Amino acid sequence: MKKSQYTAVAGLGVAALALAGCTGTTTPSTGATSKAGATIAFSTVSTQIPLITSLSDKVSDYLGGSGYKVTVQDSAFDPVKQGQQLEQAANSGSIAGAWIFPVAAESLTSTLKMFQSKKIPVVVDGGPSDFGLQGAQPGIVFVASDFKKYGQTIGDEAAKCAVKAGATQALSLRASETAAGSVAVRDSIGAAFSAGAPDTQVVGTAVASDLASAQTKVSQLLIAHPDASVVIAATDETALGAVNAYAAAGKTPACIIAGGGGPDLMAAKQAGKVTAVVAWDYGAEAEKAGADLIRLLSDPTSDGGVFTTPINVTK
Amino acid sequence: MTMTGSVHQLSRSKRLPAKVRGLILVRDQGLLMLWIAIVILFAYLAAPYFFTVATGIAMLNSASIASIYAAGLAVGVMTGVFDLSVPGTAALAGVVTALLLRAGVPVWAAILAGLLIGVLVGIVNALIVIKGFDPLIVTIAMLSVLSGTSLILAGGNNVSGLQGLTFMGTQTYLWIPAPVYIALALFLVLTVFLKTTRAGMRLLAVGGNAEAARRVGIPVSRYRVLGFSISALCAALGGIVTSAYVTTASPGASVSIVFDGMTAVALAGIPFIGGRGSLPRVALGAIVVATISTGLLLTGVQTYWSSIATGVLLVGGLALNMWTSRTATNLLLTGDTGKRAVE
Repeated sequence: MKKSQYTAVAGLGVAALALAGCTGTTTPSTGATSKAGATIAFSTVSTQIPLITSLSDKVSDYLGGSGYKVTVQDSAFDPVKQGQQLEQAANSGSIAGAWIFPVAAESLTSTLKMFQSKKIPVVVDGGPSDFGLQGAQPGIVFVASDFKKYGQTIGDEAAKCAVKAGATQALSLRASETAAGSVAVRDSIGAAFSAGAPDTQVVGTAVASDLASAQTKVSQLLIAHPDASVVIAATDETALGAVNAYAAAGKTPACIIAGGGGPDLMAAKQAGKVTAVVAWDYGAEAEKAGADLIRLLSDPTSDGGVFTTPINVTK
Repeated sequence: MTMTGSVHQLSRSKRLPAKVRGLILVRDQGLLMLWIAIVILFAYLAAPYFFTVATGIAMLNSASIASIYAAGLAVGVMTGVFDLSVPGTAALAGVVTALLLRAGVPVWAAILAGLLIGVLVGIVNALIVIKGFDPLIVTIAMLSVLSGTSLILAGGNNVSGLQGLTFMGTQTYLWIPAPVYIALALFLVLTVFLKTTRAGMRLLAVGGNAEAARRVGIPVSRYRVLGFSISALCAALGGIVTSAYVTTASPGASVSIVFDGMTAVALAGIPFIGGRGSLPRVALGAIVVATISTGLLLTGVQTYWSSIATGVLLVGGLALNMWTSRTATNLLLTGDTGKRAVE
């Protein structure tokens, strides 16, 4: 027997001993003991989105606290790259599990099946149907984002604020509609706002993917619609762009209701520049889904949970 | 009639034929005519919001930041360099300036450091390229390195709260925003440099035909370094002005900077083989792009049309430039100029 084979046998022996120490009632701590030091890949849409970076940090903190190492894979908005990176990591045996924030959920169906066949548990942001699957799945934790509810919450908050302020004109800002759930968010914001504040007209809309273009577009819309005093911003960037544009124009908006929750937006909220922030509670997601992932690391053939990311409103 | 004879006799004539003059006018002033047409169109479609002084100033402000990047790309193209590392240089310069400001470094020193980062990037790019490496690949590699570096430095997050930079961002002077003055100053300096100084003219000569420049004794490598450095310096300035405008430095390299900048360069009719070009027309190219974007925003048309219009303009600008140049050359060579150019 070669030296490497001795090492493998010894390793299996140690693993078997570790597993033998596990009790029947699996808890996060026992799972962590069994795979302590193992690597979890966090595959993200892009490392350049502060909000997702904050989720990555929360996941790293939670799993790191349980003895796991988290490595971040940047898909750079490319679904093919994301699938390839994950499959390479799984095939190389370098990861014990994965946490996936999909660029395009439907393109990851075969990747998830490959993970299941290799008994590598994963957490995915999305519901089973987003990946062409039905119900709970072995080795997969689903964390669905209810985009309709998210948009409705933003629209409701904006409507309440507009009515309270007696505003007659509003601006609606959002990111590109290629982002996941953005059409559902856009439609539900519009429906909720027009139902809640029928006397406030949306006089200008803009699509912007970065802070500078959001700021420029809001500045231009403000010239055309100087009485617009309500801003409904679906993302961090558009909200912060609006804050800067109003400040540059020497105006104070009655309401800026933002969807998002990145560090800069929360700082603007704390400084009183933003009226309310509707945010996905990634901290709660990291804990709930993280605990389930740790359970699956010990038992990758059991069904993972199907959760929904909670939504927080900070006023 | 031989080609030599034709050109020789033309050079003796007082004026170029009317058709050729017309084509040159279209080539040189076509962009201005296009811009005027777009302004008239949107003045009607987006009435009463579009054709106002305030909208004009906002449009200029929007164009000014894009034009700073475009200036760098244009100088690069004129000197035979297609610098794709511009977004990375901009991101790194912005982040370094922001981090230094946050660390309590005086504003002038932080800005200077950001600009020096740009010059350094340009020098490194050039030193690699003059070793014989493909500039396109070198600058793509540099873009990758710089993007990673700025993300590491900023910890993956934006560096916000840059209130110390508002004097060159959102501050207005005589109702005009600061970035407009910065862009104007940059274009003025670069135009004077390229058109009136020996170094500028040599830079263009190297861009037009490096081998010919070498044969007449111009130190080509030195001017390559200069071309790359100016391009990267403009990128760094653009990054700092963008950070000042939004009071936040974003470590993410925005590749759209290159597309918008190259659109302005192409609309300006600058040939990608280098050697010539007009920087004021590059500024006008950036204004055309900003005008379309603003016009569509104020008419309430889906903003995705802006992207389509920009692409169409890009190809259209190139086609117009190619058509006018080829037709003028053909007319001069064949003598079919509408009147007897060569008696």
